[in-house]
Amino acid sequence: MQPLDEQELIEKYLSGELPGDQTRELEARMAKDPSLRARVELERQLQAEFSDPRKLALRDMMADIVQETPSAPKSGNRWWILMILAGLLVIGAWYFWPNAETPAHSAPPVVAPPTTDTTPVQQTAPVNPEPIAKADGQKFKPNPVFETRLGNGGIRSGDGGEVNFQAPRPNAVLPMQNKSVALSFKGQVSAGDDIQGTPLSIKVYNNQPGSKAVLELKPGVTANQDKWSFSAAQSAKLEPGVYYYTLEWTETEELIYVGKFRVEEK
Amino acid sequence: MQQPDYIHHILAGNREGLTQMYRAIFPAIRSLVRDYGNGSEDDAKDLFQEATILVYEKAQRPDFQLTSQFSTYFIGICRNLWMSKRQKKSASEVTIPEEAKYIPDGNPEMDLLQAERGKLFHQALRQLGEDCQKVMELFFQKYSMEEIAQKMGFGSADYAKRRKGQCKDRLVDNILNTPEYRELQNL
Repeated sequence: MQPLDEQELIEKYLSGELPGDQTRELEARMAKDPSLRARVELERQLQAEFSDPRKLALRDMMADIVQETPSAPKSGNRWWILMILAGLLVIGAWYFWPNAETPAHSAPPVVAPPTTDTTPVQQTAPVNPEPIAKADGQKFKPNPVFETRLGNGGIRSGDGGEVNFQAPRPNAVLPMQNKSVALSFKGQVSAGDDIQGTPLSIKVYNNQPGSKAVLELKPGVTANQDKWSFSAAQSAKLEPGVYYYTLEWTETEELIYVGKFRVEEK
Repeated sequence: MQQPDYIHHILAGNREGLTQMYRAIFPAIRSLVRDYGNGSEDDAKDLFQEATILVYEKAQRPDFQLTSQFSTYFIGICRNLWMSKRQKKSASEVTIPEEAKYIPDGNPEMDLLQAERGKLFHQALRQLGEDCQKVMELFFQKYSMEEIAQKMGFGSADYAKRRKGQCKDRLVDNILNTPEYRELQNL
């Protein structure tokens, strides 16, 4: 019989299936090793959290409901106040408008302020318009899970070697044109000889913690001396915001790289 | 007026009933977070979700008893959570107004810890690939490796065990690499 690895040992300990001598041995180690104690506690908390499928389903359902259900108006009183203010603005603009010959039936302009200047008011486009990020900051908020893992840092790389992404460049800003973004992923990974049997996946996530990948690509892979080159390109409908991409071994879903880019309206 | 049986909707996971509950109670939660701490619409939505899960957990305890209207109770739970969050964020700066003090229901600090931990674990799980999520759900629901292999279409129980190990490593990594988890450890 194979010896238990640490993970199995902890699982069996918590389920009460570990023989007495191994239980005593593990508890003695826990008494001396705070990190092992923390790992056992985390496992216990995970079991408590995920053992109830109805609770998990409720969490998913509530996330959908708060996103999909339009919320009620904030306050009826304020709505009426706004209506009254808008009405007063219309009346005021009508009263003070300099052209007294304006036919009574034509709607008075309410946007332009009263002025004696005869120069027509120009509707000028803002100079150097701000990106949508200013208008919808939520979509540009960093995702804390991915932020700590950008690059190879903090990732259990397993057999995966170094990854070098040539595209997108770090923190690239990709323009959205006609509601589409041209995505191009290109790079190399030094992964030994077995990559042909272990294809790669590139997944794109938005910035919302816990959200599923919005896009998954299977890059083409070619041998290039001691490295393997991969590339994939696709046009995708992505809204302005911050996005993260991961390079993963398809079979094990093991992360080997995390990158980030922004989409901004051109 | 008699309120709908929202407790039943929460326990049964009734989507229609929960949507009705959200429509009825959310405006009050939005006012709460705005009035006490200038919280955003997203803060209010997070709070609503966390409170729903807390009520689900509390309602399963044998000693659970609803002694007021559901909306009063639910808003009270939200108020406790929100004030605990605000206090945690800046203990020295936040003064809790008298009318917003905790309602007597359990331990608000423990509730906050439980709510934030549950949310973080859920996010870490949903960050996994779809296969891994399913394997983890089955594993934590005590399915055997043979059953997991069968449900997932894996070739053998040994392979299911290997996948379970990989997915669990990734789940744990997702959690440990989150700054919020380290903060929770210090609570």
